[in-house]
Amino acid sequence: MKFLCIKCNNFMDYESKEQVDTLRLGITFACTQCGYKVAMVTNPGETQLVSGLGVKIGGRTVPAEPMEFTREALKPEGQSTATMTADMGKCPFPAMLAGSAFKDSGIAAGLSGASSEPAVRWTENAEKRLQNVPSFVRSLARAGIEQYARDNGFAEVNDRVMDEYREKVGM
Amino acid sequence: MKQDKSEGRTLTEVVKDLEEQQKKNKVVNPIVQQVMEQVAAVQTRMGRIKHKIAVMSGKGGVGKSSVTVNLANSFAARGYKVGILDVDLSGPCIPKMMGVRERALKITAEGAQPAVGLNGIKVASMELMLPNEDSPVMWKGLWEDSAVWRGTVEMSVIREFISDVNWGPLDLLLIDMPPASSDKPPIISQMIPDLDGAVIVTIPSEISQFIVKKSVVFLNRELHIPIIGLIENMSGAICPHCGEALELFEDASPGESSLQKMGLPLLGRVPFDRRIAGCADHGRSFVDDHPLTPAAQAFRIITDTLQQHIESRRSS
Repeated sequence: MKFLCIKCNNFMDYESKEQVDTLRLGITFACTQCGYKVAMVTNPGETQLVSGLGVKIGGRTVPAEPMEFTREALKPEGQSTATMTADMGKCPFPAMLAGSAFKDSGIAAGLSGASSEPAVRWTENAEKRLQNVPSFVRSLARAGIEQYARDNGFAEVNDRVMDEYREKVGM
Repeated sequence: MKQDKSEGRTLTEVVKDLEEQQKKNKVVNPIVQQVMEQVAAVQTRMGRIKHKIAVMSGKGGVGKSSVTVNLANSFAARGYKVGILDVDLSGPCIPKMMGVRERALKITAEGAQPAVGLNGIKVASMELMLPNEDSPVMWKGLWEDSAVWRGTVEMSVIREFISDVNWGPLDLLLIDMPPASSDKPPIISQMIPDLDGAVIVTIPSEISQFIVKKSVVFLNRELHIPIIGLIENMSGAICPHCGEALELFEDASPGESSLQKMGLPLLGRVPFDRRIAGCADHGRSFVDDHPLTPAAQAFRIITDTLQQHIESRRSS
């Protein structure tokens, strides 16, 4: 994908990226002639597919290590799905970021396993409701709901959080 | 197409001009650049391997891995430098069969170093990246819930096994494929375009041949993977008590199988011998431990034919 500056008839260049939330990246492009900027916010599913190719958005700053993608993608034994969402080892996006303000800020280190973000508990009923979400998007939904809970000061995902999140995303 | 008012050109014309300029200036999209580098890494690594043969079957449980290790040992006995790439990501059994289950792929600056097993055969497998014998292969993240995304991940993992394992110069790489007819073969055919071909493993049961026929058509017609020939595994057995030959499958007929009728050359029939399984269980080479058995002889005959095939292909 690329953006065209209509005013200058010029392709915009990739400028920077940052993590918008746990599931989406914001990527900024700028026209090299007039400096006009646009930012795109990625769709989680599409970004997932790109990350599955083992490439870094914006290009690599260091060459890939042998079996780097496989080692990053393998799930450590004994780590349950619930734990994974809490510590964001689930999220493949940090691995996609090739040296950025996001990485330098230390957020990436937190997301890649040693998370400073508090784990979010799930009530039994909220877990049950999550099971109604189709399986192929359940992880996305789980991570989104947990992020919503954290952003809004909830330590637990319960019916109220589920209702509010549902309202927010318009489901 | 909407007119670009500033210059009176259509957007299509503007984009084509810009792309032409980028081509002249050799500007490459960073994502495309990385994919090109991945392709180059695959080509470089595979360029050091003279022959590559995939061992396949549309049907599970027919003995693909067992055939693979016995062919590997037979070729190694003839002085070939052999490697086995275990592409069965979820059910990787080659390392155990080759006696290298306890070893791990060592990551070095030159690449991941394969385990070296019996007869100096190099082995790369997902199993060598797992902590314990009973560890399942699981992908973390959002990939674990979706078959669509899991397919993309597994494609990248296989690509890394092809590009990142430091096989060194090899005469022959045997690729042990999982029992699926649709998703992994296209990855292999795209990443290893100079594949010598595929060996198809089946057993003398109508059900097996019924399923294997579908994969043969898929490999040949859709993927244009040359089929070198057919190996009929578990083709009868010798009773260990009385020495009488018996058919393991009720309707097995000694005549042409339905697969041969499709024009597939029969490379050989390997009789069932429980010592094949015993050797596999203990990481030993059946063809070396029991060289005088009919099954070991069958493997040698098959190896003769394969050797002729790949050598003639090389000289031509």
